[in-house]
Amino acid sequence: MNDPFNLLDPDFLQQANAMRVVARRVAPAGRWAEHRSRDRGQGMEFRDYRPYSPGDELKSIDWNVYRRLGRFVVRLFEEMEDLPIYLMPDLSRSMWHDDPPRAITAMKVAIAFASIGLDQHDRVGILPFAENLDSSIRPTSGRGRLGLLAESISRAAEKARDLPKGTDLATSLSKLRGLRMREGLLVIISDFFDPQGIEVMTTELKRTRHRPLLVAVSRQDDRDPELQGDIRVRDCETGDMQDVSVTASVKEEYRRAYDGHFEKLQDFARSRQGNLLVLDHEADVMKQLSQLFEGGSYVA
Amino acid sequence: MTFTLFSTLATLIGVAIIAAGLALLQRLRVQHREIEVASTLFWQAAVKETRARVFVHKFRHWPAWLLLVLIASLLWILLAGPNWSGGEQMQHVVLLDGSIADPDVAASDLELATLKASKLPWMNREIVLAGPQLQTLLRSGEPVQVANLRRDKAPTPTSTGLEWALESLAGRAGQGRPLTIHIVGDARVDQRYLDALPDEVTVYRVDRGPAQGKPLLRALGVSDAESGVWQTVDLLFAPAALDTFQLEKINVTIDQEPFSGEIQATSGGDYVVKNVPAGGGVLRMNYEASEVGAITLPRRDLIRIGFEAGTPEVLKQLILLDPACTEVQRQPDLLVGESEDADLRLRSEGRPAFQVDTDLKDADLALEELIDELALRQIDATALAQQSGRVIDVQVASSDQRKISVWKNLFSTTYNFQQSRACPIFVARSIRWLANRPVLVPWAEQGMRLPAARPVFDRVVDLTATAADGRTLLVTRLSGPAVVAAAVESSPADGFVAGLGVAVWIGILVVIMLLAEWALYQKGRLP
Repeated sequence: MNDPFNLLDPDFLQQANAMRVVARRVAPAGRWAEHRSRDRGQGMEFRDYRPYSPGDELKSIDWNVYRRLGRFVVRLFEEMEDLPIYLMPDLSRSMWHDDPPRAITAMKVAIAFASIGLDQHDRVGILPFAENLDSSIRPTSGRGRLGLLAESISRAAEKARDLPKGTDLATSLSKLRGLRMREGLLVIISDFFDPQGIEVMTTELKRTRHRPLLVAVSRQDDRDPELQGDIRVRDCETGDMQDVSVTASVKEEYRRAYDGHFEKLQDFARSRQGNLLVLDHEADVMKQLSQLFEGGSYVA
Repeated sequence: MTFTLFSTLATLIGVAIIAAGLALLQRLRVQHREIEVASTLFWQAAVKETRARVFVHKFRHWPAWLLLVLIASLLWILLAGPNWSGGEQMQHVVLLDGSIADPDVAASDLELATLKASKLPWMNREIVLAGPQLQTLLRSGEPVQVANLRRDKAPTPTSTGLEWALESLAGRAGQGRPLTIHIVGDARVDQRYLDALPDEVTVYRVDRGPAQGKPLLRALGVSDAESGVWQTVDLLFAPAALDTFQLEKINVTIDQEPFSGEIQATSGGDYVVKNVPAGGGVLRMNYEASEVGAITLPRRDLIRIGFEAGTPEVLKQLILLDPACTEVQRQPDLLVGESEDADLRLRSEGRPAFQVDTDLKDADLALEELIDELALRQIDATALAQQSGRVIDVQVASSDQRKISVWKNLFSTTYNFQQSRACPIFVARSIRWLANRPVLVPWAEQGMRLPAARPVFDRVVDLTATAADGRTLLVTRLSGPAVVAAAVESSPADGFVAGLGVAVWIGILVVIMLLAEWALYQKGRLP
């Protein structure tokens, strides 16, 4: 199997499979799996009663209630369905800027979540994005599909590396919305350096029905760049130039802008019962991911 | 603070140019180092608050600019040669004693004077040689090497010490410009002259440095012989340390011939050798085998006076009372009479009462000096005018030959001039002046040179100064270092703090600022 980015590292996957994603309640109309659904149906666990209506199966009528109350009610059971997990790794130019590139970390995080999802019979879709969403990799389920997903994402990554493009999360999310996919967990793995700014990103994120989990792939000097003197910074994606005389006050302003950016992301994630994980891509990825999985589970 | 290389104004202009230049540089668009980053998102947000510096826009980096201006200005000031020893308005004159001395001593004095001048403010310093007249060797703003070029190789004698030079220089002070005079040389300065100087004038003597040995003799000199014999002088010497001095070890030679005169102790602890022949020889004093002092004895030639017929007897007697004068019939040195050839000419009334022909070119300048030298000030001119019914005036004119003309009647019984105290003084001094005999300076203090008299002596060989006309003048030299019992205090140490000049302090300050800049740069406080 072609694995140029070493995504299928056995040790890494073994650690990933020790973790679980638990949904509070998944959207109805899913496939049978391990998560409680908002559907009430034929499961094993009793959930509620409702009045009988014509068309209901007779075997679902609770005759004991009829005997005591003289009314027909039917028993409802928990429906256990799958949690769609949509993984959106950022493969834009900025993710390839550093050495080693952040894109590899983003793909590893995606593969880890894919492994977790597939292991618990969830449907996993990998949707890489840069200027737009790449929806060519079809969502899939089943433990044996991880290799295919890894191969697909590697192929997409090689393509993105060879022809890097800018970041446009808003457009990508808009396209995701257009796919009308079942409500699930949306894991966006990116540096979140969208030139359009945080406001545009959060506005578009709010429009999605999915529960967000934002994984920010960062570096230590993103917040504290070791730059001095008179410099001209050039944006690797847009080519925009900015002349800067780096002083203590400018650095302070820079840090304030950086912190404000991620605070807004955090606020947004919380408002949607989601999470933001700022992940240092130069440190151990799995160790940092495990912070999300308290007691081995992440509650989506 | 003053500056050696530039004037204070020029230095300040330099600082202003540096500040303006750096300010302009701050405003220039800088050549930025291009760096590719993952995103400029946060940089854009940062510089919205603090704009990057651009030409003709908001001036930025005040601390950096100020630090740079300070460092550059201090370096500029360092180049300007700062001097903390005087204010900007302070004038400095290094007064070089031009009295007769060994050429070696004269050269070292000039070297000392230039060294002193080099440490004084460039624009406010001068070196003036006190010879027969004041000669400026170094003008303000000139490099000190110029002084060496202007100085004659042979030392020039001065007749009256440094008092007249100090008085002349003191005239430059005033109008808020104080004057400091640094004396280089041994010439003694009378405390009374110093006290009489204006408050704006401060006089120092430049110290020659630590003594390298102690002279045996504190003083050596001659005076008129107590015996009254004109052709002899009494030699006086004073040991520096009476407790260790042994008289029997002293021996005296004149022109390398032993002199066996009796040495007598005085009540003051000094010694006198009486009736030493004043023949112009070199007297050397030896202590055991070492020479401890030497002096050129005066040449006490008799002044040969010829009297014409008709010379008042009173005048003749007054002249011959002087042991230096003797009457001759032929080839006199001076002629006294009524003829045109007479040096001391007796004339009828109608002309000025006293007419002096001087060999100096500037008669007006010589007038005041001659009035004192000839004791004319002591004459009671008012009484004489009342008796004669005429104005008693003094006229001085330049001439090739010295000559004095006086009313003949002044020596007659018509007037009481001949009976006044001023008369013998006037006559004696006039004869000495006409004969051009130097006034004997009876005593030389340790290390001092005996002042010379006019005319200018142009050559000094060993202890003898030789005039153009062949006459010689005595010179005193004591063995050992020349240590002056100074009547004026020593010149203050140069620089901000003795041993550690202002330049060193500025250098230290620059280093501290550079370190501060480095530290601030490291902390990201400076671009």
